[in-house]
Formats: sequence, structure tokens, C-alpha cells
Amino acid sequence: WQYHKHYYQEFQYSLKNENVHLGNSLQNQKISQNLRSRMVDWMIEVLGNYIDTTTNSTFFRSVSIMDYFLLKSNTQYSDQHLHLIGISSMFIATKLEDIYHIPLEDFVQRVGHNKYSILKVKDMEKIILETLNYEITFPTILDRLYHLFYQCFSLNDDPNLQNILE
Amino acid sequence: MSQIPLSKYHLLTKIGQGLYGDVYKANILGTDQYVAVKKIRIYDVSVGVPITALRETSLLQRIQHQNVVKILEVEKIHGQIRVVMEYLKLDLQQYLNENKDRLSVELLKKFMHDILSGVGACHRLNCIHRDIQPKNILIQDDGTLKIGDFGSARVFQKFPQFFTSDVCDLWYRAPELLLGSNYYTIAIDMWAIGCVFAELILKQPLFQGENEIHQVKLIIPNVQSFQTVNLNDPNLQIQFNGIITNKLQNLINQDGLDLILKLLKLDPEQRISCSQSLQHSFFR
Repeated sequence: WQYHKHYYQEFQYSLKNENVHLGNSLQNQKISQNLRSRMVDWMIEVLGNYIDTTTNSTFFRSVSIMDYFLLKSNTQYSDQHLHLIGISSMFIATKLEDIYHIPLEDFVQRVGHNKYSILKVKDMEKIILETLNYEITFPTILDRLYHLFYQCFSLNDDPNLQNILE
Repeated sequence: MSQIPLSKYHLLTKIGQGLYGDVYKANILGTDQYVAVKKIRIYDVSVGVPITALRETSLLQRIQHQNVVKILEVEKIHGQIRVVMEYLKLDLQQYLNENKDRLSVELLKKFMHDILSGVGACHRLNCIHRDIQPKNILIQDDGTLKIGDFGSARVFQKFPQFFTSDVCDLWYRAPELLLGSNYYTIAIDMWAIGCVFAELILKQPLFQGENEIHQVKLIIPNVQSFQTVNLNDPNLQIQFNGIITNKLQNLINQDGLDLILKLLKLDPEQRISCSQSLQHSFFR
């Protein structure tokens, strides 16, 4: 793939100016670090079942939405809530990123094993969107990685770096 | 007693039907200020918040620019989501229909500058608009243009990336899309801007195809087979430049024509970007 030279300068702006810090996303929550990391692993597993219609972007967006929500929410959630928050975060991410998004029924049946109803997943979707005031398209870590990759390998003439790529 | 949230806006008349719900003209209660309110209709229960609404709202929340329509707030009334935006009564299509006179070079410069600045603001935030056409460019009372209708817009990560090829109004659709590519870049917006520029000069759309095949034939007249078209063939570009030059050369100065030809490059790799366009000698 090639990030086109003409458009390179347009991209840098967003990366420089839109920093959303997601570290310490659990600081206001009663959710354990351990459970959050298991949730991230589980997201990889779930989205891995939709390899033809989802991409890395969907995964990184899902994690970013979940973390940003946990950081911003005034409600204190505990371990038992994280499952639903994770499902709804993936649901929003797939609608935002994919041409053919993962259907809601799949999230209820295949992913959630009917633990949460359609209504529950949709309610959590609304809560997340309202809490974040629809600010869910900020650059993710993936954008920064692509950018770094481009700076190292496509923009840079340094032969040493070019060798690493080949 | 439970508190029922009351809307701060009084809906007046329906002014349009969006992809995901009706749009109303409304005024802020107790004032004479107008706003546009989009009621988001959730008709497909299996989708939750509709995709177009999700994308438009989330992108417009980020893009704060004088040449992009503003979201004032997102309201929730009785469980229904309402997106409140600034109200602009005129769009560029209506303007072109109502004004029969040719636009002065000064006005062309201003309009193009506004459009390129607005779309450039989207591109800087990793967002492709994907539906640039006069209908989606709104005019404020003081003559400032604002890009609106982000229902088709989306974010991208890397470039180019796979997307659906079924975007953009036919007359403004870039050749790579017409040839069925779903591997495209923000260059598709640049093609559409080129078409709008030509339309401002001609006072009618540049390529008015009846269907996709006809549209391709207007751009590449002697196309043999769609599979074998090579958009970076220099001869094809020369032939195409001839068509454009014939249509426009008596109506616009040399700088303007040069900018149009740079926006309307058949090969998306060679098409000029918004920030480069704004540096073009046409604006000096």
C-alpha cells in the first residue's frame, strides 16, 4: 500500500492535534485491569470470526471506544458490566468502520450467547454515544502506527530503513 | 412526579428528508433564531443507531471549521435522538438555478476557496466526504459556503483502503469509482470538486450521464472495454483535457482552467489535494 505523497500533509494534522489519552482508563471504575485485558483478548477472538468483513481498524476502534467511555463515564461500573460495554463498543465500531457491519443479532446470539437482549445492547450503545457526545472517530493507535510506518519506510530515503522493510 | 425532558426547540416546518429521518426548520424557544433539527428515525430495529447518523454526527462533532456546517447539540427527547444543526436556507444547486447570470471571477474564487477549505478540513481529520455535489454545499446569508450532509462520509486509516464503491452522486463520481474500484482515496472528493468548479462556470453540470456506462463514455468517449481502461495512460489524459478545454476555455482564465485540469486528473494518484489547490495561482 502507499500513502500518497500529495495527501501526506493533510494527514499529519489530525495526528498532531487530536490527542485522546486513554491511559488510566479504569481510574474511576471498579473494574480490574485483569478483566479489561481479558476483554481486549476476547475482542480479538470475536472480531477474528469475521475476518472477511472486519479489519484491524474495527478492533482498534472497539478498544478505543471502550476505554474512552470508561474514562469519561460518571457512572461507576464494576466487573459484571464490562461484558455488555465491550459488546456495545464493538457494535459501534463495526458500524463505523466496516462496509458490511456485524449484525446486531450476531452480537446477541453468537457473541453474547443471549446473555443480553437486543434492547440491552442498544441501550448501552446509546449510553456510550451520549457519554462520549459522539466523539468516537479520533485517531487510534493504529493510525499512529501506520503513520510511523509511512515515515520510516515510504517517506524516508535512509537505505538502512529500506533494508528492514525488504 | 417524573420530569419529562422538554425540547429547547420548537419545530416549524419540514424542510427535507434525509437518509435517516426528516429534517425540520425550528426555532430556539424564546428567540427568533432558527436551527435545523434532524430527527433520527430508528426504523430498522436490528441496527440500533443508524450507520449514516452515527457517521455524520461523530464526524461533524470533530470538524469545527467555518466552511463546514455546525452541529449545535445532540438532543434526546422521549428516547428519540435529534441532531440540532445550524440552519442555512439556500444550497448551491438552488443558487445556480435561481441566478442565470455568469459568476464573476471574484465570486468563483471565493466559492472555490470556501469549498476547498471546508473539504480540506475534513481530509485533515482523516475523513472522506464521498458525496460532494452542489446540493450538499450550503450558502450562509453573508455568502460563505459550508459543506453539509456527511451521511456518506467515513473515516479512513491508511491509504488507499477498501470501501464500498457505491458512493457519490453519478454526475460527480470519479472515474476510478465508475470503473468499479473499491480501493480509493480522498482523491474522489477532489474529482467531485473539479466537477462542481466546472458547473459554477458552465451553469450546468459538467457530465450528465444517464447511467454508469453513459457516464464513463462522457469522460472517456472511445472506451473499448471497462476492464482494460488504464487511467494513467497519458494519451487518455491528453484527449480528456481536450474535451474540458473545449467546453471551458472561453469562459474562464488560464489559471482557472489549469486548476480544473489538475482536479480532473483521470489517474487518482495525480489528482491535486485541497491544500495544494489553495496554493494554486488561480487564488492569487
